[in-house]
Amino acid sequence: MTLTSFKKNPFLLCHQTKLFRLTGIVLLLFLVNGCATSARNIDMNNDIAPAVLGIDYRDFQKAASEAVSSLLQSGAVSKPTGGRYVLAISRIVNDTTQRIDTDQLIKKIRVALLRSGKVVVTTAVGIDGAEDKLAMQVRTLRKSDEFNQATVAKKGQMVAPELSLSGKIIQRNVRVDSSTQQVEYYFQLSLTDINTGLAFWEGETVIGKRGSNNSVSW
Amino acid sequence: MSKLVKIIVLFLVLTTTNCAVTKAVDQRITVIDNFLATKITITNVIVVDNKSDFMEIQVTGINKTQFYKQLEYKIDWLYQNGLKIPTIMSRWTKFPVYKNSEFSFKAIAPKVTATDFRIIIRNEEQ
Repeated sequence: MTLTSFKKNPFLLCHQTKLFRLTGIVLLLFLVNGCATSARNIDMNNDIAPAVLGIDYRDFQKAASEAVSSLLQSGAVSKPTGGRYVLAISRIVNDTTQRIDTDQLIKKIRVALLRSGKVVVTTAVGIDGAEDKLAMQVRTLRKSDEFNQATVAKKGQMVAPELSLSGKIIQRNVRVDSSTQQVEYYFQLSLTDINTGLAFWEGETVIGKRGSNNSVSW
Repeated sequence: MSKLVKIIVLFLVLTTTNCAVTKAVDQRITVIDNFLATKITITNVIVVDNKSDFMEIQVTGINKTQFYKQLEYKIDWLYQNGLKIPTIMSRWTKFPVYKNSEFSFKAIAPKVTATDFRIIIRNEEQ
């Protein structure tokens, strides 16, 4: 294909340009795909990846583990008469700039306390209503002829909570210098005896991180 | 025996003694980093059942180096039959070890039915 052939047929030149552009785009796509980091699973038992300025699962694990250790060591969840305490989960305030589901912390604590054999958590009572609304809802079946009434939950069977777990996650940002910032997280928890209103146990885990001002913690 | 041979024998004895693995104070505790194992020594392990019947342990040791270190330990809690107890408390936990100083850490079992434990210690984030 010579220059004279392009001069004779302008359509051919246009077609060639389109072909070059297309080849360029395809090459670029291949390059981008080739450079992208492939996803991989995190080894949760030995995660040696650098810390992040925001709160990640390692921070929740640390805070929950320390809270449970402290709770069990204090003896606050050991009933003097034996048996298990009934615990209700109260409000856990997220006072950070991050969108956190506080269950990421509380669920770990609940599971550990339940497994300890010292505490059982009620899902029938909660700060924003029952966590599991079905327990109350099935009681409406008492009037239904369709259900064997011997299998319907009886009156006065639910157990009221004796303890309440409340808390707060606080974030504080401190400027270290022109290029570094420090982010502090405070995981604060209180265990209250509902009967007396007295806090039987209180605990705090502080996690501090330092990083570039260019990083954001939210 | 010539003087040179005596010196060589003395050197060998000293070297062998230095490299010998010191007898662990408790077989349930292992320092998994060989180099680290020569630098820190576990000196005491206290195991008690607390007032709520949870097994509580305190491990004490000495850092023989001139450097501050951050180490990590991980505890596996075991039932009487040797089965491991799954718990969030079995995680790598950091603890400070100051130069030429004694260090210690405490831990509590996740259940009253835990009767034994295994601890491994390593350098921070291997």
